[in-house]
Amino acid sequence: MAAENNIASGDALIAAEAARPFIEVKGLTAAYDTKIVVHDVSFSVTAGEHLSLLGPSGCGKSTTLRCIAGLETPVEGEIVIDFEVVYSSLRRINVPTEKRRLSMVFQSYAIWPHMTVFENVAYGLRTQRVRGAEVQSEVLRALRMVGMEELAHNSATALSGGQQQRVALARSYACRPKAILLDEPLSNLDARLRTRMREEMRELQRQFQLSTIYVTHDQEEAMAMSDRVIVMRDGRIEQEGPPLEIYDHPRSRFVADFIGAANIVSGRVRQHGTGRPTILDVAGTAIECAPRAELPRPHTDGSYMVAIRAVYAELRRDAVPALMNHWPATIERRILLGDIVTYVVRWPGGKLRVHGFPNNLFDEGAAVHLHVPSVRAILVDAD
Amino acid sequence: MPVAASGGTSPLAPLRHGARRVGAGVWLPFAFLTAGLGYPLFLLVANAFNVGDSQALPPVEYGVANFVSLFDHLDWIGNTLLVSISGTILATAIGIVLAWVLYRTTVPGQRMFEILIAIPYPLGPLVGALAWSALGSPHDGLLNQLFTSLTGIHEPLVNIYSIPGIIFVMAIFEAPVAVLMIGAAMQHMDSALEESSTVFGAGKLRTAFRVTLPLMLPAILSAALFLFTSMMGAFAIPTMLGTNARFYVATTAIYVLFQSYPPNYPLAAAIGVVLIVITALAVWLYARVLKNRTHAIIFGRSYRPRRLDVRGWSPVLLAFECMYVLVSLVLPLGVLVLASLQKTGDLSWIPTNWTLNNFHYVLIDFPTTREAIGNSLLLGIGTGTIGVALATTIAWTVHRSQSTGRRLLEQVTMLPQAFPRLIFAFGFMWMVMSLPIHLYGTIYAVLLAYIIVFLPLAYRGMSGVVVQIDRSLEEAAQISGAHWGRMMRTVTLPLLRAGLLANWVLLFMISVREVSASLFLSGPGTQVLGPAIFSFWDSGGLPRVSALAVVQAAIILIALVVVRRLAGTKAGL
Repeated sequence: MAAENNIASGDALIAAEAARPFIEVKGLTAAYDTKIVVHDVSFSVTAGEHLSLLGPSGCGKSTTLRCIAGLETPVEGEIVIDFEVVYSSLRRINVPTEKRRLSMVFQSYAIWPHMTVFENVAYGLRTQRVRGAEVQSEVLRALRMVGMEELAHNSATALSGGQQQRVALARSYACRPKAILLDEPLSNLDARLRTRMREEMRELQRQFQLSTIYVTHDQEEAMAMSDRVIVMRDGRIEQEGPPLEIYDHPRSRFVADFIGAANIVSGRVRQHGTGRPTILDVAGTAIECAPRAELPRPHTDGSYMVAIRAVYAELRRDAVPALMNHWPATIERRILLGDIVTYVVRWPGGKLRVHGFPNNLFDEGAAVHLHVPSVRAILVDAD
Repeated sequence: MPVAASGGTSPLAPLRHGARRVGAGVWLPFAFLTAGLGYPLFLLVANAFNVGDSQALPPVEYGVANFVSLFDHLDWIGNTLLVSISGTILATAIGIVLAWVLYRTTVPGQRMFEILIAIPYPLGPLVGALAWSALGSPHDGLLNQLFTSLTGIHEPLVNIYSIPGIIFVMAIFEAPVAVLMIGAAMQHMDSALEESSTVFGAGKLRTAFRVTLPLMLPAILSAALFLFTSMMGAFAIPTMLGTNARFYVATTAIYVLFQSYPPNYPLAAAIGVVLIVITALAVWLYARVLKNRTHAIIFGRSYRPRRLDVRGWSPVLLAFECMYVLVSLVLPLGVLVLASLQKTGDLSWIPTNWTLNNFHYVLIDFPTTREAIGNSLLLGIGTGTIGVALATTIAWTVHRSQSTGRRLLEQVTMLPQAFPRLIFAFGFMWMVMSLPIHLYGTIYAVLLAYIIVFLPLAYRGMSGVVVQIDRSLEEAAQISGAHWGRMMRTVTLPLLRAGLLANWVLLFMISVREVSASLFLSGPGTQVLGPAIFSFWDSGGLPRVSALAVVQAAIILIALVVVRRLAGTKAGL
């Protein structure tokens, strides 16, 4: 049992296994009727890794997950789980869902209303022919993990949203799956509970070291929980990498917009070449951008896009001499959001949104100095 | 390893096992319905144009003479339209008021009235007509006797053997359908839509007419269409209450033409075709009115609508509910029980004059009624079981599969609802007679007809059940390692259980009480309760026919109670 081994033998084994792909998706194409919703998508998940599929609704992330689960039949491609080919269009293999030994948490939780909490959690064990006292102890252990032990014999219909979510989690961990699939599991909870469940789920993930694929449209969830994030758009992978890399180095305007708050500024290339920094001309003002071997895909009108995160732009009261990307600016609007403050700043290149903190407030109309470190001005592909 | 080539060209081409096919779930029921519905209709139409030998089938000579001779009997069609339209308006109005009182006001007793108001429908028009002829007959009706003995006036209080009488009895026994259909829409309506109307300054009346009524219109019209078709084909009430006054509607005329010697089948078929054209027009009108008026808001999540506190009006509305239950349930059942205990046709209040002999006679002594009771029970069980199984399969295919043609299947399934049952049965009888296998005169012919005519109702019910079951509940079972059989046993069927039982008992009840669809198909050797009661009414005398009707009512009420118990034993459903 792969899952048990993972729990038992600890970090050494995990490190050794980490390199090999545990789930592999190759050239996956899926369609509803004649509309193709997933185009030739390939990625892999290593043992114990937490991967998030992130994207707006309709980007194909849920379909990809359901293909891995076997709930949708792809049109083309291959899916391998733990060295076993579960789907291959070329070899005409399609292992039915119930034989894939996965578990899944659904957006609606899918808690069976005609069973008790205990029966819900025991279901997967019973299909594996686990009987008697072992079921009892495994189910209670899983329920204890999510703090639902006392409610084991309650009817599943009387549960709140958060409790249903916990039962769904216990159910998917209890059946000792090869991997856990989660389809927008937190989207039906209120914001406060969502934050708490996010942390609890990360904790469970650390304990069990199960390979996890997590589908979400919420960038915060993806950032907070994942080892690696895949951003999807229109059925294709837009960018793939660790959360911070995607945050700091978005490859396209879409990714920069979708994750975090970014300003997109467009301009003409003034200077680009080996050994010299790339400099963009934005409305007559020069911006030095982070070094990049090749220029990104330009907009149809020939201009190039640069993404500047609102948190990485700096506002100062005094001028700092002899710095690149340093301009006088005016505070046009101040929007207090609580933990952060958003300023709309007028600078020679136009308008920019800049995040600050409430401990150092600038008044509306104040003259300030704007600084964008050149490593924070990221050239991105235009749409 | 190279990724499977998709190459940008049609990625759907290389493999078909993800493709959608026309599954057995589509074409099997489709073939069954097309044959079982299409062929009888074809025979009906062919016969309507038969101007040669009236017994020949298929006809040897075609012409429009039958339709021309219908012009001498335009009153049959006119009478049918008169009672159907008035009956539909009255029943829909009763339905709107009762549904509103039940689901949108704070008038007490909702749970009890919800059940009581539903019962007259399964009791059926035959029981209704029989009971009301005992209650409202101008000379010896119980109500008129009481009125005379109380006031000394010898003029009758009510004359049920009249056009208003027919309309009234039809309306009260069909109204529960309207309550059910309109009530469902009222329960699912987002009350925020009404609240926002009041916020923008509209009063209660303006809100009711500008917001509530338009939103309810699809449900109201759909109920009205159902009632109209049903009343166009109504047989028991116009026959039992109208023939005394020589008042003929289309169905009674068809029956008379069928019974006369020699039977005039072609003219009867022509009347049937005219009726079908009229219902088709009604369906077209319905679709036209509702065009571009799909109110998605109504069918979304189930809301808990705000109930209106009617304060001072509460006793008035409560009285209306009680009045309805009195005239449609308490009085009819009461008078039938009373009549069934009599030794003669006169109603006596003195218990020492009462006897149980009539029950002994219909249950044990008289083979025809004994056989009819047995057959009807079998038919009820058969129609319930096969009908629900078929309806569930179709509902599953329509709502869950990706098969092409599933929408068409749904429309074909609902089609029998557009034909008056008696007319369909008339055509069905010819089909059965023309078949090479020996089906005519057997109980299987009746069973087949019942399944076809009641399928729309069963499908409507099972669709509602299937749609409510979240697909992910089954997917979660699959993910947990359950194969198809285990999933069905542990998840799908337990979730469907209450819905299956409810629809089974509905089909059972309406099969036991049905008369229109079995009138032409039952006969010596295949006695069925409905037609048996009908012919008993002609010949058996009031006490015995009442006893038989009480037996039928008892079967229906017992089925209702048993299934409510069964469905209620498991909590959480």
